[in-house]
Amino acid sequence: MVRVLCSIITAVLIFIQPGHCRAMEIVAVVSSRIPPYMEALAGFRDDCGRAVPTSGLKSITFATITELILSEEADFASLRTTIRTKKPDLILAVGTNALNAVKSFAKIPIIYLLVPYPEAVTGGLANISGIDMTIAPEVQLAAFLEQLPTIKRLGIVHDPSRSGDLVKKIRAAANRWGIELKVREAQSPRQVHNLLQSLIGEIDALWMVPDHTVTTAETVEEMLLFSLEQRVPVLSFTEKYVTRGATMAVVFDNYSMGEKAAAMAREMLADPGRAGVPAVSPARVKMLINYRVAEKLGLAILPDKDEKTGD
Amino acid sequence: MNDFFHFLKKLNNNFAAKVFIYLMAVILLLSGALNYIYLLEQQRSLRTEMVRGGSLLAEMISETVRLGVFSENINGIRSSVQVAFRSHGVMGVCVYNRQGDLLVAVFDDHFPDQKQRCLNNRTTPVLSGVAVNTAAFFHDDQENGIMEFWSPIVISGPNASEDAIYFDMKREGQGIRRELIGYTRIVMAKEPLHQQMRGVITKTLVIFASILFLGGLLTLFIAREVTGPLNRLVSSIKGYGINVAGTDQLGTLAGTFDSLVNQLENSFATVNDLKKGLEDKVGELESEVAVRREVEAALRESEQTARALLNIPENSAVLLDVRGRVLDANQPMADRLSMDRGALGSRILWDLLPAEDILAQKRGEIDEAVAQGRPLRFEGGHDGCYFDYIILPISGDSSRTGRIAILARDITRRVVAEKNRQDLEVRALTQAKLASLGQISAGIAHEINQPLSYIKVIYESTLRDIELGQLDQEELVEDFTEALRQVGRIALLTDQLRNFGRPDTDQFEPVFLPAALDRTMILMGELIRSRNILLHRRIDDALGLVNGNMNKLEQVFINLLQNSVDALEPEDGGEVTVAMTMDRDNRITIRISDSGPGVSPEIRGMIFEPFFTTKEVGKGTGLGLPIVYGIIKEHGGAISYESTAAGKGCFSITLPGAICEGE
Repeated sequence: MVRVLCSIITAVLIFIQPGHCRAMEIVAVVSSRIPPYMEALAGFRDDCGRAVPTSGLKSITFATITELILSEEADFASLRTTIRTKKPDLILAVGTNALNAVKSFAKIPIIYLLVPYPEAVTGGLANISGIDMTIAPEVQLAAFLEQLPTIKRLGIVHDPSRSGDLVKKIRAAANRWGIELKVREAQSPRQVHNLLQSLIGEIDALWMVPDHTVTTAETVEEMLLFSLEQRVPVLSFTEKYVTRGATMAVVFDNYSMGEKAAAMAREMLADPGRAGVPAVSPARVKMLINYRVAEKLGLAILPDKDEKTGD
Repeated sequence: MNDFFHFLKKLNNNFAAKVFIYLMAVILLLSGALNYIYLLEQQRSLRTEMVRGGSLLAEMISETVRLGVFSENINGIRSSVQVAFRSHGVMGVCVYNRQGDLLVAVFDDHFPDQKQRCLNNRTTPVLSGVAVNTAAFFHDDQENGIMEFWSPIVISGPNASEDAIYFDMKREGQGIRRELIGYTRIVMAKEPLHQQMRGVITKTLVIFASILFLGGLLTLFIAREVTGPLNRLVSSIKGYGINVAGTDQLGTLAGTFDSLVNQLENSFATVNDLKKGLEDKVGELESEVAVRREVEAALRESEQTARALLNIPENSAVLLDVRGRVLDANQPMADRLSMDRGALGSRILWDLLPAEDILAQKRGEIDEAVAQGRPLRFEGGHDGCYFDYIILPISGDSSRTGRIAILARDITRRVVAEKNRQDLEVRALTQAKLASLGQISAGIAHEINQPLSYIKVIYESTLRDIELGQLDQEELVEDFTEALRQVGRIALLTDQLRNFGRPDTDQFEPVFLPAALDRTMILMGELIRSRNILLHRRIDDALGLVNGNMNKLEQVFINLLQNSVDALEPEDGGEVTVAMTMDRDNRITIRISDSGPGVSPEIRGMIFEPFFTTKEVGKGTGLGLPIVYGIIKEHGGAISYESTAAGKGCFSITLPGAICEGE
C-alpha cells in the first residue's frame, strides 16, 4: 500500500505543469565588473530576493537571476544566443554597452540601469524602461547652496548640442534661487581652456555638467586647475571627479538604483500586457565633499553635512 | 752608462731588490688594470645617467606642456618648459605639435647657434614612426657635442563611452583613448659629461698613484721581512764556516744547499746505520725484557708456589731473605727447630740449626745455588730422621729483596722402607744362593771326590811301591804331577764355592761375561752331567764386557741354568744351550734355552712375580725368577721369556756393554 502511494506522489511531481510553479527568469547583463555596476546589481538581486512570488503559488522565489558580464563574453552574438536559450521573462541591462547589446530583444521587457543617455540608445522602444541617472538640477542646486550659501554667480562650460536641455533646467533652477548663471559654449575640448580664462573673476563657482564634449581628462584637469588657481569651487555630478579634485557633487546611490530597478521589474512582470512603463529618477541622492580641496579653497564646510538623501 | 749597468748588476745580485721589483710590477699591472676597468665603468655609468636623466626630463616636460599643447596655449607652454633649465647641461627645449611644427623653442642665451640649428632642422625624419606608446629616445650628435632627447606628448582624449563620464573605467580598460598631440625636444650639452669624465680620470689617477705609493711601501716592507731571515741564514751559514758561493743570497743558498744535501745524505746514512743498530739493540733489549718478564712471572709463580708449599702440613718449610733471616715458617719447621713459630720471625736460620744438621752442612752449596739463582735439591738426615730438601731462590727487584724458600719433606719412612727392602733382597739372594748350593752340593761333592779318589789311588800306589821298594822316580814324578793337578782342580772348585759364597756388595765393576758364564757352568757342571744333560756353550770369548756386579750376575745365570735343568726330566737327559751375542749398539744378549716343554702361554705373564712356581712343594721357592728380574733391571738390562719355533723355552737377557776407555 505504501509503495503504491509513493508511486502516485512521484508521478504527480514528475508530470505537474512547470508554468504554475516556476519563478520568473531574469537575465542581468552587466557591461563590466566595475564597482558601481556590481553595487547596482547587488541592490537589484537583494530586492528580488526579498520580494514574494507574484506568479504561481508553488514558486519559492520571485525570480531566478542569471548574471552575464558583457566584457567577459566573446561577442554580442554569443550573448544573445545565451539569452535566447534562457527564455527570460525580463532583461536587466546595467551600463550603456549592456543596453546596446540587448535592445534588439523587442518582445522581452528590458530595464536599464546606470545608462547616462538612454534615449540615444533605445530610440523610444516601448519594451525598454529604466532608472534615469539625471538628478533634478533643483535638487543639486539646493544641495550646493546649502553647503555654499554665498554663491551668487555660477559658471558653466558646455556643448549645447549635448547638454543644452540640462543647462536650460539649471538656468531655470538658478533663476528661482536668484543665482546669476554665466554659460560658455564649447564645440571642442580645446576651447575649454580659453573659455575658462574668460570666466576668471566672473563666477563664484564652476558647475561641471555631464557633457561628452567638455568632460575629458584634459578639460577636467583644466577645470580643476582653474579651480585651484582662481580659488573657485567646482561642483560636479559624480564621485569620480570629487576624488580627483572637484569640491563637491550630488550623486545617486548605486545600490538603491538597483533596488528601484527591482521594484520596476516586479511591476512590469506583474502586468505583462502593459507597455511603455516610464523611466524614473534615482530614489536616493547624496552629497559628496572633498574636504581637503575645500580647505585649500578656503571654504568653511562642516563635515557632518557631507551626505544628503531625499526623493 | 757603465755606472748604470753596474747598478743594474748590483740590483740583480740583491734578492730584496728583486722581490721589490717583482711585487711592484705585479701591483702596477693589477692597479692599472683595475683603474682602467673602473674608468670604463664610470664612463658608461655617467653616460647612462645622462641618458636616463635626459629621457626623464623629456618625459616630464611632455607631461608638463600637455595641457598647453592640448589647448595650444603658447604662453602656458613657454612657462612650463622653464623648469627644464633647472637641470644641468640643458641648452634648450623645443615643443612641436603633432604635425612636427615648432610651437615653442626656448634656448639658453649662451647657445644661439643651437637654437638656430633647431629652427632650421627638419623634424619629420626623426618623428616618423613615433606613436602614442613610444618611450623617450635620444640622438647623440657627436659632431656638435650635444645630445637630443625626444618624448611624445600624449593626452587621454575624449571618453570612449558615455559611461566613462560618470564612472572610472580604467580598471576594465574601457573608455580610455590616448592621443598623440605633439613632441618635446630637449637639447643637452655633453660638456658636463666630459667634465665629469675628466674628474673621474683625475680621481682614478690619484687612486692609482696612491696605490702605487702604498704598494711600494708595503712591498718594501715585505721584501725586507722576507729577505731578513734569508740574510740571517746566509750569515749563519758563513758563521759555520760553510763555503758559500753565488751571485746573491739565493745563489749562495743554492750553492750551499747541494753541499748540505750531500752532508745530510751522509748523515742520514750514518743515522740509518745507528738506527738499525739501535733497533737491533732495542730488539735484543725487548727480547731480554720479555725473558726477564717470563722469569719474573715464573719466579712470582715460584714464590706463590713456595708460599703454597709453606702451607702443606706434611712439609717443613721456611721462607728466608738473602741473609738467612726467617720471614715465615710453618709449624712443622718450627717443631723441627724446637721453637715457637712466632718466635722464629727475624731469626737467622743458620744460627738455629745444629752443626750436624744436613742444612747447616750444605750451607755452602745452598749459598752458591742461591747466588746463581738455580734451585737445589738433596736428601739427608741425622738421628734417624731423613728429609728431602728443596731450595728455591726467588728473585726480587734487587739483590736485597730476593727470597729463599726451603722445603723439607720428611722421607724417613721411605728411607727406612728402602733399607728394609734392600735387606730383604740380600736375604732373599742369600737364601737363593743357599738353595742353589744345596742343589749343586751333591755334584760338587762328586766333583771333589773324583780328584780325591784319584789322589788317594796315587798315594796308595806310591805307598805300596815304597813298601815294595819298587818306587820309580819318573813314575813318582808323573803321579805327583797328576796329584797336584787334581789338587788344583779341587782348589779351583773350592775357589768357585768361596767366591759364590762371599758376601754381596752393591759395587759395580767391569765384569767379563764369558768368565762369569764359565764359572757358573763349572758350578753346575756336575749336576748337568749327573742328569745326563748335554750342555752347549756358544759364546764368543772375545766379547761380553759389562759394568755390573759379578756375584749378582752369577746368581742370575745359576738360577736360569737351574730352571733349565729342572725343566728337563731326570731320566730323559736333554740339552741346555748357553749362547751370547753382541750387536752393533754394544748391547749383549745372553740366551739360555733348553729342550724342555717350555712355559705355557697362560702363565708366561706371571713367571716373574714373586712366589709363583710350578715346581713341586719343597723344590721351588718362587723367588728365583723375580730375583733375576730385579738384578737385570738393576744392571739397566732386560729379561724376557721367548718361545722358539720348536716350542722350546728360552730366557733372553740383554745388557748394555761397558765402554772401554781405550776404545
